[in-house]
Amino acid sequence: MHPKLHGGSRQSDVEDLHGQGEGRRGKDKMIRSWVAWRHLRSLGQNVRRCSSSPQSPSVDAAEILKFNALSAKWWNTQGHAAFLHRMNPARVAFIRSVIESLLLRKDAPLAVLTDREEDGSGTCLPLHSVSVLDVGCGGGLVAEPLARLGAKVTGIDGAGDAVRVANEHAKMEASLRSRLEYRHATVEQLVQEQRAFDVVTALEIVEHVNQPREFVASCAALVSKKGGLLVLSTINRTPLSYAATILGAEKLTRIIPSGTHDWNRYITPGELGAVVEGLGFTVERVVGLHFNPLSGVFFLSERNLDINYIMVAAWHPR
Amino acid sequence: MMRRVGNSCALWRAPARRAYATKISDAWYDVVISGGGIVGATVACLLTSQRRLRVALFEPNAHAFLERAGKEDAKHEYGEQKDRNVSLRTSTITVESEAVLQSCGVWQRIPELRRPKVKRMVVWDHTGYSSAALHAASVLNFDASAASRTQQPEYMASVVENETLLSALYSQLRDVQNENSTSAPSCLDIFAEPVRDVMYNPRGDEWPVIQRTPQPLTARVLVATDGRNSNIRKLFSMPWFSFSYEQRAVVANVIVSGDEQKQDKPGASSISSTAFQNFLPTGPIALLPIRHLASGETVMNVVWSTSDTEAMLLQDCTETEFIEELRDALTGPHALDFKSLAAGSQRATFPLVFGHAPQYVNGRVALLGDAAHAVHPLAGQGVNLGLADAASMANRLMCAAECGRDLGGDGGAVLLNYQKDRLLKNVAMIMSIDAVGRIYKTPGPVAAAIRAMGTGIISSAPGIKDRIMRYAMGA
Repeated sequence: MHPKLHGGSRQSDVEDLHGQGEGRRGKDKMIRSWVAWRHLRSLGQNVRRCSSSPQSPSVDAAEILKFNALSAKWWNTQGHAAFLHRMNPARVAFIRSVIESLLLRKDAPLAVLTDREEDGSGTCLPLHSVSVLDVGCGGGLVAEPLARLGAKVTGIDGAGDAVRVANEHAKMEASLRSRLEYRHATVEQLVQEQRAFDVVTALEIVEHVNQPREFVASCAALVSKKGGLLVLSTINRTPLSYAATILGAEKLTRIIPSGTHDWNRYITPGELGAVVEGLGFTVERVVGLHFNPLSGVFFLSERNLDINYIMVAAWHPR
Repeated sequence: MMRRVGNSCALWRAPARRAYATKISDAWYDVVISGGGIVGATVACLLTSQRRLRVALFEPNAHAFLERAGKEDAKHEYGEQKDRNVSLRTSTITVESEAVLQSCGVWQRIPELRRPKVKRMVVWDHTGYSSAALHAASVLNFDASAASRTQQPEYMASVVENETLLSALYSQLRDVQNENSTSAPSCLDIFAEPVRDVMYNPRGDEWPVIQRTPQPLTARVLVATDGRNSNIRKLFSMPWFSFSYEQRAVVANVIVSGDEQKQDKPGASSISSTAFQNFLPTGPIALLPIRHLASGETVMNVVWSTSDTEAMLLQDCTETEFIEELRDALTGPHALDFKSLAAGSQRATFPLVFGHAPQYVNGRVALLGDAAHAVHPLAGQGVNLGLADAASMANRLMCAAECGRDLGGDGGAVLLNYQKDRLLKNVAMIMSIDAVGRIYKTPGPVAAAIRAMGTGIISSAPGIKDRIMRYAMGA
């Protein structure tokens, strides 16, 4: 690619973002996307002081520049999102399997290729006609695969540039155009708009929001259908999770930038389960997600929930 | 660095963002296969077996293949068994490769008569250094039924004409296409043309764009199965390590009748299910049963690897001279009576080269089969390595599709898994084939002693022999 051309487009990106930044100000005070939060933390003391006064235009510029630098990295499998990319096949496969078994009531075990009914478009997609909301979609790492599996996906994120990156990346696939939509919005906005979805996913984000209880309640309010699913993934508050995610991933190997996670914000499955059940949901499945450093692959485990885990709850209104 | 070939400059000049816009095209495929030989067509069959992926196959001879597939079907229906016309190029399909072909419904399309089984392999060497008759120890008898352990099939491999196999593959592909024409868009398109021009930057996220006259096509994954002189490999400057053996293989079909009384083992399989291989100082000569005739004779396919000059002589000499040479070359533990060349079959020669691509994957582009590795035909493993590549690739792609992954995305993670599956296995196989070829080619008494010792040890130690045989069977 020609360096001059590349530089030119970068310039215009920054201008675009200034425009978006104006409109965004004050919208996402409660929910910060994981990225935003992480990068404010990693900017260091100086920026952290600034972040307490978000009205200052310099902070926005710093955020935008930081976001802009990061935006290209959402889809870089070697960058900061490396773990998320590694995690993706396992968690998408799991989400697909719970949607199939709990919502669609298909008894298709995972990873077994079975002939499915034609959906009329020539390919028979397993999640056809399921509407999914992905809260904190980031670059669309989960939204895209789910749309590829046939679901009608809406991805929202508090960070406008993440939404822009997601849109840009999705443009490459003509087949996703009709099934994938990204919005720069918060869950609260969607609740106000009285939107409704079969499945709401909030992955690796609950531990990054200021008021997790309210956040989960908002997500739950968007699950419309009886039997609709709420899929939450976060990190357990255990000594092992401290060792793995903070000492191991952030301090020792520095795969994730230092300051990404705050151990005190981690939530145990018990606490999360209590919140969810208080909202009229039934916890259906909880699985742990573990990283095998030798093979570099994440795998699911029903028994061990000590670090990352995914909780699936179904809405059963009385 | 944007790699582009051909003469269309519009995309090259466009800024990156604009280029995206031009690339959004409704003509997209999950997998585009360049080259529809045995391996390419097998990939297409495997990938379309679930009717989930959109596949395009580019093969210049596709029309001819599809037409022949139709004719072949008709021929089988009439039960034309006595056909003495056998094509020259044959493949030894191991049990493992057979399972691959079976899984996509291709193997079942070949009538049993067209795929005779090899139940026994006789390997010996006759270098002229042992003046006496052959030592019993230097004859290796691999008998599949004798070594039948747990669930081992009673045969080692099947021999099938390449034409027959291709016809079966294309009749499967034609059926997939026909089935699709009733429902909305098809999951398989066959283009009777080569892939001429690809625009793709392996370091970017964009999809490869295959330039075509009415409309360019985009592909998540571009699979190159276009043979050892792969055009795709050259387009993307993927490294290729190769050397010539400075040998040629002469192929011919001969009619053989075996003397059943002279067999060393009573009850052993007859020559019609035996493969013979003799390591001559000039190179190995192999004899594979390809067609049983009603007269009780067998048409056997000769693959004779030899020096360039001798190959030319063998190509140009008369039929009787060739038969005479063959008789000399295959003097051994079996009395084989070579009658004549099979009707309508000429002799042909082709050069032997060794080649290997140290990297099979570049972004969204993957090399399979001969495009990734060219091997010596002495073990008949070339096509089997290719079919194993095809199975691995199809398996990886279909599993990834089940998780909704972008098949070529995530930094090529899915394709790199294919490379991880195959690279070491292919290298091990290629190297061992090369090593066997070399030790049998080396002149002098020392090498002869090593050979005799080697074959002696192998024959007397059943464990080793068993293992070698299972290796040869592709297990």
